[in-house]
Amino acid sequence: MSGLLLRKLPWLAGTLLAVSFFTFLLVSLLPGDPAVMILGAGGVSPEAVAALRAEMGLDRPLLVRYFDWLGSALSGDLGRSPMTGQAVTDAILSRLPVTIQLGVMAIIIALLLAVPLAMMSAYFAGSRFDRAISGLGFALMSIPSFMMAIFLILIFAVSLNIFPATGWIPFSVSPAGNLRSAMLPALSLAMIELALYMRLLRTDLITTLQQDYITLARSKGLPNWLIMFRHALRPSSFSLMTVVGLQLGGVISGAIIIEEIFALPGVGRLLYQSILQRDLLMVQGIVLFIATAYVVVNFLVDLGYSLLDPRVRHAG
Amino acid sequence: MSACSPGGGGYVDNAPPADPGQPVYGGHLRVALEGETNNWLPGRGNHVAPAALTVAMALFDPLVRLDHEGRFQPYLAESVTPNENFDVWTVRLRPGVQFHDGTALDAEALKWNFDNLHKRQGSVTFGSIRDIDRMEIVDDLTVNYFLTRSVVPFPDMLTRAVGWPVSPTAVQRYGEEAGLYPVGTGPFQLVEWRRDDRLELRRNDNYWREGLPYLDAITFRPLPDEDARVASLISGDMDVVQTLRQHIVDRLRRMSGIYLYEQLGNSSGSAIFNAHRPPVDDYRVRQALAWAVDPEALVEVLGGRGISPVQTQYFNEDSVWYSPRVAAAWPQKDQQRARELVSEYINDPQRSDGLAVGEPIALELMCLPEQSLVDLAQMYQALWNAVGFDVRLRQVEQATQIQSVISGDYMTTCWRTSNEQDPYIILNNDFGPPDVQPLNYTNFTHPLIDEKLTVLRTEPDFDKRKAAVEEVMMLLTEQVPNTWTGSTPSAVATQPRVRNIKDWTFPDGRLGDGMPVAQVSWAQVWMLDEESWLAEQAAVSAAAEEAGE
Repeated sequence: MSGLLLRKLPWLAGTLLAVSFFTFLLVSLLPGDPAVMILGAGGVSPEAVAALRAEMGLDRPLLVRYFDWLGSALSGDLGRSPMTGQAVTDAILSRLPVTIQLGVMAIIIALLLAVPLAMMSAYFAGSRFDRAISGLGFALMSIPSFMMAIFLILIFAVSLNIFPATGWIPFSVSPAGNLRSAMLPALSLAMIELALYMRLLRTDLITTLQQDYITLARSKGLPNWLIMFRHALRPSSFSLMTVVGLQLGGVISGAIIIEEIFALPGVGRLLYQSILQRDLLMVQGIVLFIATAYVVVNFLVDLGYSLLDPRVRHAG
Repeated sequence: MSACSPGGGGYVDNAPPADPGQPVYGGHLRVALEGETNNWLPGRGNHVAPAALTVAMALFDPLVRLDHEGRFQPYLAESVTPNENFDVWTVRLRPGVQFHDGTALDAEALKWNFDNLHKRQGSVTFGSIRDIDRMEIVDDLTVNYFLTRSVVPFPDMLTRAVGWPVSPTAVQRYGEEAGLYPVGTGPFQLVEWRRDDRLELRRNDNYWREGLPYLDAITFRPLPDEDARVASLISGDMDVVQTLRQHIVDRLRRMSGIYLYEQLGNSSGSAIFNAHRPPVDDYRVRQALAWAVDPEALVEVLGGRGISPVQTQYFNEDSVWYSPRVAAAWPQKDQQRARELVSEYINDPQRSDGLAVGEPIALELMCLPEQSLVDLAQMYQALWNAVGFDVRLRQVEQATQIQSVISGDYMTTCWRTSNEQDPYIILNNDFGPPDVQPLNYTNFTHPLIDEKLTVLRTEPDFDKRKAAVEEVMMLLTEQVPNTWTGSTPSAVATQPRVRNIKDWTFPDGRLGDGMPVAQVSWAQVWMLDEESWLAEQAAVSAAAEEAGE
């Protein structure tokens, strides 16, 4: 475990450094001047733009700005948004619970539905049921998340009035209200994940079910449910676990549109607004945060392999 | 304008009652907005968007507001009076007004606002007050604004962010985070702001207007998705929603069980031309582009048929500055005329684009990737190609568009033109000399406009000012620095228990200007409680039964 950490750590740090630098570069190269975006409403004279650029430090060379930012970032200070006046770290931390809850709920819902469906699909491979489930999977994968969101709003909020159409209630205010407000956005995200997990697990399960040890288990007269759950599911979960890990790290990008539609105060929405407003420091901070989430989650997935299958641990 | 006007099939009568009834105290209103505001500090935040303006009416009070006849009237200020030359303006404040934190609104606070938030390079509002040289304190409640020249419509500058005083104590206390904690004099004060989620306000018990506000609390929520916003009204999650989209207004007009308030704005979709960029530097080309346009088709594409009247000038049909003469003269819907002008230009050896005689005119139209604007740009392209132009579309996002327009790096672009301000302010911004007037994005100037701007700046007589506006508008029908689509409708839809969205009044009882760009005066809005609501419904049912008998 500690050996793995020591081997991985330089790579993780290097990845984050590269991501932060290229993000800084790309965001700086985006057309549109942050000073102009701020002043755009009130009339932009060259003097006013120059004064504000100087106030924001944008008149300094890019590398100087980057290393300044990096120095502060290493001490935990990601700067302060010139657009909103809010500290970037505070902004991200205040929105993180929303996005994490959304992502975790989406993945849990997707797994709860995908695992049994994939198992039944694999068990009855080639049957009508299997074909119907595969068709459903393709259909779900074909529907963009924003369409799914509007569809769910129309059914569950407007017609049935079960869940709110928009908005977010913090867990601290009302646990039940929180779950109600998170349900439709989480479902919108889960539907796409569901299809992906289902297809992946079904394929791996079909391969596993053809292994000799499964045949042996069947010949011993073990019940089918025991074979499926105890002997087939675990070794078939590698690809699924990798994808779930990646999806958890990347849930912020998936949540951008959903958070915008449901008006949720999450990190995805903050990123979207910050890009539109050319809020460079905020974008930089969020991207660094997402990259960190990715590498940490993937590192944990690597660790998870060894926990899931002793053969990996011993091979290492 | 009633919501049941027959602009299209299926409209229902969901106009609010002419008599809103007796005000009721209490209640917590939930309001859905078009978007979020970046910062609540005047001079720092973007306070021109409808969402920002409507929230500002709860947090702040403008020194000056417009009445229902379009005249400036003191509001938070007790009086606003000019000297003989209109270059020194004396503003006297009402006694006893306090900010939400208990700080007194006095001359010193007003001067602190002016010096520290507005009259400094880097302030968002700096450009809009370039005519104000300085402010001086006269006494505890009185200040003088010294202008660099006579400006008759000076009070206009005090209707927006420059005229929203905030507590100097609070701004100094919160420092860099002052924009997160707005402390004004408005009818409601901040409880909590969770950006992109909700802004919670509660009643200001020390409000300077006796007996106001009626509501206990307001929650503003930014819901940028138009469909989701309407859904939140239908599902009962929200009590009030605002929109400035034609297709949404159309949808709201078909909905029962709500009240719909509408008000037409001067702002209109347009295509503006860069007068410094060939070939649109030649007025014949611009004229041809205007003659080729069918504004009704453009309005149709935007989903505004029966909702957005075709615009022909800077002011819509409901405005006191509107001119039927200009409307009749505006070039449109004559493709033959457009072809003749195109032919004249392409066969001119001196054509400004430097191409050989007979070569087609190449145009680039820049527009945003929003679906209705994509449709609009394609309609422009089709109409202009039909008369001999060769139009290429360029899609950019908003930050790039603004940057391109400000730097003059564009030929023609989709844009919004005009607003609710005084004609002098609008026309000076749009057609003042580009070297001193950074908002002149078309780079179009003309001696006649300069002359009429002087009239508008110095002449207090309304009729003379209106004549000057008309002369400028007539010139624009010849020179065509831009084309028009339709006037922007602003709409606010509410649950039927919500009352008095539009009919706000000044302290002396004078009727205000309604809800321009969906900007509601929350101090005088109320919501019927369960008891009042049931009583009203019973009375309505009884009246209906009686009528039936």
